Amino acid sequence: MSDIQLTGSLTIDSVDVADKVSSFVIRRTRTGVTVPATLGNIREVDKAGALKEVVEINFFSDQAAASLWASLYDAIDTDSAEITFSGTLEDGAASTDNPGFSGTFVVLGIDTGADVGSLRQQSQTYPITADGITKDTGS
Amino acid sequence: MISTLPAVRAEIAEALAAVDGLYVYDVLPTAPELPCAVVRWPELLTYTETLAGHASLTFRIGLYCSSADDAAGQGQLAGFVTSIPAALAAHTTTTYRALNIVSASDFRTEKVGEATAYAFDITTTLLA
Repeated sequence: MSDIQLTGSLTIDSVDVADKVSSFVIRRTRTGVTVPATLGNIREVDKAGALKEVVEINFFSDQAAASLWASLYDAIDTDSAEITFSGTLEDGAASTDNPGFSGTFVVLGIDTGADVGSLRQQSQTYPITADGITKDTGS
Repeated sequence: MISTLPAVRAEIAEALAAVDGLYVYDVLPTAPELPCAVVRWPELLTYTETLAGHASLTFRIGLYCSSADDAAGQGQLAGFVTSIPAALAAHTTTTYRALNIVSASDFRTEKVGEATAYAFDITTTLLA
């Protein structure tokens, strides 16, 4: 296992897109709920509030009919704009030391095109649906 | 890196071979025929640009035309500088992708084998 993000696997909408993705980050955050100080406790305390999960993805996009860009472009036109993903952040099958992650995210935005002479790429942040992210340890 | 370095250089050379009247080399030649294009070693290779393991590479393609006749040599070089981007862009391959012709630079005279040549470099980037 490596501390460095090297190769891994990623499918989006059941299409292998690992060769198009230069960054994939699952970000899970809890909002902080502040409990004020009381007469009985001078300390203001932050408690964990709502859980929010998003995926941050940077990808290259060609204009092919079967491409990541095309999948996202089509997804945003659907009522729910939802699309599934699954992957591991290291090579090999999902295991306790290389967990697989899967879920469904909501396509809230998709860009088309780029500056002339530059690589068509974009970074997007998509929220995970209410079902959350599944962590698969292969067991 | 998905494709091997020799395979990428050979594929670029194949794309350049579509240009009329240009000898193409995918390895540094000791005694090249002029006019020629030489796909050099990459100027920069950045490993692991995608989850699948693609690398990004920056190549400088050297163009050389005989300087025996100043006007003819420089005219020939100018013609190649103009026609090569279209040849590279038109080439289809699975060995590399996202090829971008960035710039042409560094006009100079250079000793090539036994001859002196006008030289110019074309810089490209790609994923492989």
